Amino acid sequence: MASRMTAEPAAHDTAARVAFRLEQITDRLHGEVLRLAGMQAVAEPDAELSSLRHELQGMADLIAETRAEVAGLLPIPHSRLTSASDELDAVVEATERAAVEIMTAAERAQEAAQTLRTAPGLDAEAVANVDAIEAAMLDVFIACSFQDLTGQRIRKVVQALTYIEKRVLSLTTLWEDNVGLSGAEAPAMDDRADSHLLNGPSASGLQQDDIDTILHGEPASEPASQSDIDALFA
Amino acid sequence: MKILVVDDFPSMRRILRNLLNKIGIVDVDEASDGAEAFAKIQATKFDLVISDWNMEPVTGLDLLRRVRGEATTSALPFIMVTAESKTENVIEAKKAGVNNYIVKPFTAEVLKAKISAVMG
Repeated sequence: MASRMTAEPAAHDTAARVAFRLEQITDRLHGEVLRLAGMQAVAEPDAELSSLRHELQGMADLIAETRAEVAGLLPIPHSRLTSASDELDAVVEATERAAVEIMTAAERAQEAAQTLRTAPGLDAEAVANVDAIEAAMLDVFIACSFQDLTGQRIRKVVQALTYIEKRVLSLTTLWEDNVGLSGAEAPAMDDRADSHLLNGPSASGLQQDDIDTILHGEPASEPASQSDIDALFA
Repeated sequence: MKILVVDDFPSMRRILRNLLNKIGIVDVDEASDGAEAFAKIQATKFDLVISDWNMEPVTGLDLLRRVRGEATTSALPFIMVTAESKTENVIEAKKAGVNNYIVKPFTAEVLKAKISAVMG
């Protein structure tokens, strides 16, 4: 099988050289598989050779499909990954706005409680109620720290998506330039049986530490509790 | 007591300010990252810094190291308040000279206890 590569890229371009080498390997593998699949049975039972040929043809199809899929990851202006990053950014902004509104309301309640505390003739029960209101508002403030924690985690996801997106776009550009295969040749939709896994894990699923515990008997890295940390400073 | 609260999330700074007010500390200044905080520390005398870890471009750990690296600020009490609760993070902060470490989310009681432990 003749390679579609025409010239080796400049030596300084590491990514291009990797793509060039990958293309060479893929072409050679594809050619060998096709050659083996086309061989006639000689000494082995026909059924076994037929099965072998079938398996080899399957491998060849898979390689060709993979090449088409990689080429199909097009650097379009507004990709799904970009959209996902934007949506996550919007989640951070929305939760930030909600937290600010909650805290503003809590501060108004705190101010009202403080004003009420100075009212003349307040009996013990009323003072206790003012105390309860202030304590509850403090709890509301503490609960608002969820926004900071979720925001930090979402930022990490956005950074990871951005990183992946840049690498995928770089690879597909190189692939198109060097292989000459366009996205139009790629499957428009992922119809693999496990494509639903691309939606990510369920929020109610096991955490990595749970899985590590099941597989190895102990977690890979255990977050320390406040009391563990206090012991380090004792 | 004059405290500098450092966090890139405005809501978290607001929460800390509110909790500090509730435990009787009203002289509170804010910074949104390590660089702004270090500039304020050099310009103003603070009694305590309460800083988040995850900030860009200068993290809380970077800020801590800068503070400890300057002769005029090397003894400034410093509490890290962060979601980074892995043991290796705590040890790294301790090696850098942090005085105490609070894991988010936390209560006003925990904040008060840690401030008392650091300030005496």
